[in-house]
Amino acid sequence: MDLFLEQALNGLQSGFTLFMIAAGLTLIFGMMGVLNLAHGSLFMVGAYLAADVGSRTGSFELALLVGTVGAAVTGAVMEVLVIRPLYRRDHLDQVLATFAVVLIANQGVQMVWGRRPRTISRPEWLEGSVAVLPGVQYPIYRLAIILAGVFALIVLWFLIERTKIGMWIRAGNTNRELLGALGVNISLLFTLVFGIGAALAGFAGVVAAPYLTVESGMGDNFLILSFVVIVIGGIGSIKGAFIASLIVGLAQTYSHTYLPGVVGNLTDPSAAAAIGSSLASASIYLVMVIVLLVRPQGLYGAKLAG
Amino acid sequence: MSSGTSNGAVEAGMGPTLTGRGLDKHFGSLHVTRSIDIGVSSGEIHALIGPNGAGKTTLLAQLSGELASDGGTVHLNGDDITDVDLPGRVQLGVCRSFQTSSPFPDFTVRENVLLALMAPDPGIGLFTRAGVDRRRNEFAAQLLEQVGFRADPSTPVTELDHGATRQLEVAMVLASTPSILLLDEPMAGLAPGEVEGMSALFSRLRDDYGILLVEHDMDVVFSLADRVTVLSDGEIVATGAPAEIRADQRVQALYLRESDV
Amino acid sequence: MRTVDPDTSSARAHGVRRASTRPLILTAAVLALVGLSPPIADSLGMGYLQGSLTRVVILGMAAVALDFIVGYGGLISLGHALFVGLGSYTAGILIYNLSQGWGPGADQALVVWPLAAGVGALMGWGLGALALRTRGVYFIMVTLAFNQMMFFLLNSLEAYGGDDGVRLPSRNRLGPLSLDDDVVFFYVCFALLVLVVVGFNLLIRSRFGWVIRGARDNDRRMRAIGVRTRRYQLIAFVLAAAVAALAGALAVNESQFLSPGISHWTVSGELLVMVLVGGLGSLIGGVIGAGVLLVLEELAIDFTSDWQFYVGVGLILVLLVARRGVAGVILGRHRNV
Repeated sequence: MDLFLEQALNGLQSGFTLFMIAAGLTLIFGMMGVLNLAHGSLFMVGAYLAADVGSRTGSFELALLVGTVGAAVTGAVMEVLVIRPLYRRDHLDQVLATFAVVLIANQGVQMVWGRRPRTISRPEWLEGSVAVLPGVQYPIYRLAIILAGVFALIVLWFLIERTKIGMWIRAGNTNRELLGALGVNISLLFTLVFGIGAALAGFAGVVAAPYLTVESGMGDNFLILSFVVIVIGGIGSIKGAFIASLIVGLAQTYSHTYLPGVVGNLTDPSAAAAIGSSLASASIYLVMVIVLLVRPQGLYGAKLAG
Repeated sequence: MSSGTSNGAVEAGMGPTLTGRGLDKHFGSLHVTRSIDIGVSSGEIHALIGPNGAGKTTLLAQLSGELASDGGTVHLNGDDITDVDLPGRVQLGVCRSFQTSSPFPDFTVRENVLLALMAPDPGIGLFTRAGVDRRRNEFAAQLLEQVGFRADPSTPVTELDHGATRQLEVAMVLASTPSILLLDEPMAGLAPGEVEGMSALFSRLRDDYGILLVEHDMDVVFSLADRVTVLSDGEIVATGAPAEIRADQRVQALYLRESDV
Repeated sequence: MRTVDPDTSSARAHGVRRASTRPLILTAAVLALVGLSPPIADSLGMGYLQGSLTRVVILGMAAVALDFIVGYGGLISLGHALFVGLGSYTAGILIYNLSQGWGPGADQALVVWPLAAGVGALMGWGLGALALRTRGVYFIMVTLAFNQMMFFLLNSLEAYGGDDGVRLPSRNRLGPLSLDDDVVFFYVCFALLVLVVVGFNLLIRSRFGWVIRGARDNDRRMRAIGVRTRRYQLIAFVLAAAVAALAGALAVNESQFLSPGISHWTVSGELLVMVLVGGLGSLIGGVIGAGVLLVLEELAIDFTSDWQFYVGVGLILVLLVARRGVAGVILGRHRNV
C-alpha cells in the first residue's frame, strides 16, 4: 500500500511534468495550427542551460531562471526564423521544418556541451523527505514539482480565462482573421504564445533535470508522450491536456513499477528489469489505442466529421 | 403529382422517395435546423428557398448523410437510412452537389466525370491504365453534353471558369446514377444563357429523378418548381405550390425584411 | 480557357490527355544509374562504397513506398520506420536462430522476405486502421506514437540484445545462391527495387491510384461520389508497410546486425527528408533522395561528426528555397501521374 501511494505521487509528478510540456504544445497547435516536433528540444535546452549554470554557480535558483528564460528565448527565435515563414504551408512542411530543428538541437547541444551527459543537483533546501502519511516518506523535491505543476496550471488558467491576451488566444483558436481585423498584432501574439509554451517546456526541463539524465534527445520521448496526451485529451483543450497528462503519468509510473515484476515471473529474472522497463514504455501507447478505438476525437476534442 | 402537406413531407409510394422527419442539428449552442420534416420524390422538382443562414445547406448535409443529425430520421422509399453514412447513401441513389464547386483538382474535366463513373467501387485495376475505358469515356462525353458543357474536356479543372465548373458539378452528380438529387445552388454565378440551359436540363431530368433544389434565383424557382418550401431560422415557414408561396404574406414579409432576392 | 474547335473535335475524340513521358524517362535513367553504380564505383577506385550503394537501394525502396502514401495519398506518416524495424526483426530473428536449428526455411530468402513483408502488412493493417480513424495532424501524431511504441517493444527483446542489438551469423540464401557476396546481394536488392518502382508506378495510374489521389485533395467529394475512402487509404497504407518491412529484411541482411536503431522515429523523419529532397509525388524521388542523403553522409563523415546538424540546416534551406526537390525541379510541369 505504501508503494502504491508512493507511486501514485510519482505518477502525479510525472503527469504534471508532462502537462507543462503538453500544455504549451496544445496552445501552440490550437492557436496557430502548427505541429511543433521541436517542442521537446525546448525542454532539453532548459535542462542543458540549467545544468551549465548550475555547475558554474552552484545556484539552482539561478539555473532555473536561466533555463526557463533561455528556453523561452530559444522558442521565440525558433518561431521567427523557422516557423513563421511556414505558417501558410501544409503540415508536411511544418513537420519537416520542426524535425530539422530537432536534428539541429540534438546535435547542437553536443557541439556546445560535449557528448557526455550532464547533471544537476536538487537545491539543498528541497532535499530530504517528508512524511505524507504516517510511515510514508516522500522526497520533498518531487512534492515541489507537483506544486509547481499545480501552480503552472493555475497561472495558465488565469492567463487564458481572465486576461486580454488569453481572450485573444481563445479568439485566435477559432478565427485568426478576426483578430487581425480587431487590430491585434498577430505576429507578435504568435511569438508571445510560442514563447510562453517554450518557457513552460524549459521550466519543466530544469525541474525534471535533477532526476533525469541531461543528454541529447532527452526531450523527444516527452514530446511523443505529449502527442499521446493531446490525442487522448483533444487538441486545443488545456483541460483535456491536464486530465490526459495525469492519466498518462500515472499509467506510466504504475506500469514501470509493476510490469518488471510480472515479466520476471514469466522469464529470466535477470533480464526482467530491462524487458519490463521497455514493455512499460510501450504499454502507455495502448491507452492511446483504446482511446482511438472508442473516441477518436479525444476526451474533449470536437467530433470529427463523417 | 404530389400533394404537399403543411409540413413539407411527402406521402410514400410515388417512385423513389426521400423523406426527412424531425431533422435537428445543433452546432454548440446554435440550433441550426429545428425538427424539420421534408421530402422529395421522383417526378418532382422541390425548391428550397430562404434567407442566408436559414439552414438550407445544413439540411441538405443531413439528408445526404454528410452531417449526422442530432435528432430525426431519414427514410428512402420507406427504409430507414438515418445511420447510413455518406458513401452508403450515394450508393443507394441519394446524391448531392455542392454550393462551392468541389471537383478533384489534380485531374481534367473528363477525368473528374470518369472518377464519378468508376465509383462507388473502382477496385484496383493494377494493370489497366485508368481513364481509357471506351464505354466509360463515351458515357462521360454524353454527360458533359447533357449539362451543356462546351469547353475542351481535357482542360484541367483548375483552369475552368465558374460556369463550366458548375456544369461539371452537375455532370458528376448525374454520373453517380442517382434517383434523388440534392442540388445546392447549382446555378449560382451562371450567365443568363447558362441558367437557361441548366433549367431546361433539370426540367428534362424531372421525369426520372426527384430533385430537391436549393436556389436563390426566384425566376428559376417559380418557373421550374412543382413545390416550394421556405426555410427561415431553421424552421419551415411555408410550403406548397409556387403560386401559393408567392402569394403567402409570411413569405413576402420575410423577403421584404431580409431584402434578399 | 480552351474551347473545342468543332473541326478537330473528332480527332481529339473524348479529350484523352496524352501522358508525359518525362517522368518515365527520369525513372528509367535513375534506375539505370543506380544499377550501374557498382561497376562505376569500382572503376573509380571507390569499391568501398558498395555497402552504401546497397543501402541507397534498400532505403530508397522504403522511401518510394513512403512517397506513395505521402505524396500521392496525402497520408503523412511519421511511423514508416516502425515497419522497417518490424521487417528487420522478423528476418533477423529467423537468421539468428539458424544455429539453433530452426529448420531449413529459416535462412531462405524466398521464405523469410515474403514473411517479413507479410508481417509488415498485418501490422500495417492493424495500426493503419487505428490511425486512419484520425485526420490531419492527429494522424501524424498517432503514427509517431506507434513508431515509439514499436521502438520500445523491439528494445525489450533482450534475447536479441535489447537496445544494443546483436550480430547475425550470415545472410539469407536465395535458393542455392549465397548472398554473402556484396555485389550479388546488391543486384538482388536492385531487382526488388525495380519491381517496387514499377509496381507503384502502375498503381498510381490505375483506378486505385486515381481514388487515392482524388481522396488526398478532396476526401469529401470522393465520399460524395460513393467511395469509401478509408478503405482505399488503408490498403495503400498496408502496401507501403509491406514494402517497408521488406526493406527492413534486406537492411538487416546488408548490415548483418540486428538492432532497434533502425526503427527509431528519427529514421522515419529521415525517410521523409529523402522523399522531400528527392521530390515529393514523383516516386523515383525516394531513390534520388536516398542517394543524395547517403552519399552526402558518406562524404561528410570524414570532415565532421556533427553531420546531423548540417542535415537539419540543409533541410530548412531546402524547404524554404527548393521545396520541389530534385525530381520536382527536373520534371517541372510534367509530374509523374
